[in-house]
Amino acid sequence: MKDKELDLDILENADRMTVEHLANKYKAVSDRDKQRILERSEKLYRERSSDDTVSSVVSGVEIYHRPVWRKLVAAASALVIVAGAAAGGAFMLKKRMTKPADTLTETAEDVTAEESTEVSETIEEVTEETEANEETHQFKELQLHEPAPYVNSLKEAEALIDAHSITMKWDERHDYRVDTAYYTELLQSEGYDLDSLEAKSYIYHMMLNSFMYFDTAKGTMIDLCPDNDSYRTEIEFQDDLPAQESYTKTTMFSGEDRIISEHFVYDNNDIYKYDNEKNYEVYQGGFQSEVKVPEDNYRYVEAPPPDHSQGIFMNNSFMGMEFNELQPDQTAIGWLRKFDNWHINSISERLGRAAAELSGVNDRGNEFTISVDICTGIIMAFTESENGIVRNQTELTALEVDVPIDRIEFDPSGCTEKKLYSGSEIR
Amino acid sequence: MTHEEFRSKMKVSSEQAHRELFETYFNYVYTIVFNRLRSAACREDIEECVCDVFADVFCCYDSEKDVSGDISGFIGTIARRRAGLVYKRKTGVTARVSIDDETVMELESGQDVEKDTDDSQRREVILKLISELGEPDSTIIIQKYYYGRSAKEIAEIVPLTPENIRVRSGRAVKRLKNMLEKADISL
Repeated sequence: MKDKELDLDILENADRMTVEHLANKYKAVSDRDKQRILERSEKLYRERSSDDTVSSVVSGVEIYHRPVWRKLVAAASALVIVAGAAAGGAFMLKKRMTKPADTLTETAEDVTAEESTEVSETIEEVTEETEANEETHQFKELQLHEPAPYVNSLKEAEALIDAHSITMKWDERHDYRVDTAYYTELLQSEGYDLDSLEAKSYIYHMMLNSFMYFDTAKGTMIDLCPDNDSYRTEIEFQDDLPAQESYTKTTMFSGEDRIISEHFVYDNNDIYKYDNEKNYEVYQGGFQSEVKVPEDNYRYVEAPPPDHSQGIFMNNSFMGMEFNELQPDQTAIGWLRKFDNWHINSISERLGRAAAELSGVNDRGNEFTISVDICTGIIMAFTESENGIVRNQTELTALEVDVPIDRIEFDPSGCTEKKLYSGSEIR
Repeated sequence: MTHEEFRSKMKVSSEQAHRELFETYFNYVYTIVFNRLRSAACREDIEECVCDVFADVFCCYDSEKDVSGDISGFIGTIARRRAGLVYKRKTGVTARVSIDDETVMELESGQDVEKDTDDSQRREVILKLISELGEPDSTIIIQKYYYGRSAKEIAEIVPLTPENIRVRSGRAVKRLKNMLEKADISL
């Protein structure tokens, strides 16, 4: 999954001074990759030495057949929206006469006789409230997808996005939902065209705006290293969106070795416990009471070089590694904004949840598959393949949404506060 | 390494000399090749090109020739030529014009001296500001946004977990953007 926060294309095809600066200062690849390239170089040398085809090779007779890796259109700069006055808004609201789900009727059957009176009274209150809401409840209208707008400069892009944004109070974000009950039923109905503009616009919208569609998420996921079975990362997470708090425990497996770290975000503190939990460091967090949200079709605006484009991504700094799955707006904008590049193939069941199964090819020519929970926009599974070889693979292995979460607080006993990086040599 | 030093090592053991040459100049060659092919070729092609460069160097080096000085010029030239060949194949740039053609005098060089100078100065400033972030943030920024590596891959280069790399890169980008804004540079 590639990001557009910083565009360093200017360093490409540069003068010798730039190249030498990069070569002298920064390691190009890991030691593992370097060793692999050395072995390959020596093998090539042995083959050429024995074949006596040196002259033809040096003159460039070999033919490369691999596909071109084309870069994503880079953002000139991507603003992480944290707050801001609304310059205007075009969030259209549509009345839809639907009733919120009523689960208390099922619960009532299980109560004792002594409690039944109280429960009945509660049901009556809820029913009255529901009937009142039926007349006033409004859903946002789903914006059907259009290609990214094109303007002449970054300034124009910023102005255009501002004109199509609203400032949303964090605790009112549910008010901007589309009618998921309607669309989830539609997607699962027989004969419905899953590859329609409407269906794809819905999935795209859910991924851009998943933060509106759930309050808590708790689960586990794995991040595999497909070309090396001995490497994998397991992540346990729990996120409380109203409070913007989270806890993540990450276990990295490398053969027989394990490295455990934990990440705590609560009470404006961002605490990272690392080095198999011997050390920790503390940063200041920051609660975002409101967010600036552009309409779906204005999350990405194109402009000519040197500005290229402007992409807007939501704040997810309180989440751990699970942010790519729980708030996948970057994946949506980067990989799905060109609707011709991907398709919805089916609706399946994953972890007891209905998921849209997507597949496509990104701008780099790499194939990908994404499974998206159609009720929340959360990514359940993801793969990216290069030349038919799976390079990236993540999958949720457990997920509970909107369940009560008990805060997990950091216990410093047995740990030392120490800045994570103290100037030790780069490997 | 100088030509003389390399020839001396070759007399002792060509295999060992090749390895030492690789160790010394791998980063240099990879950077040259990547810088040329970044937007034109996939990572596998870039690596294959680097392998070809070293195989060329090993095959083509004439130990009998009495050449002196730093060997990096020879290696850099082979790297640039190899990368240029791959670039042309990948981008389909094959047009040739005869020197006798009437239109040849009207051909523009395609070079914009003013823009090139401006870009060169901007690059210098940008690299300086990235350096000022300090380690490991400057390495993380270059690895992530120039080399396009994932947090997992960067974790094999800097002694941090992928999770921390993600957190640090977000903070480093914010700091860098502030620095760029103050220097009146947009990317």
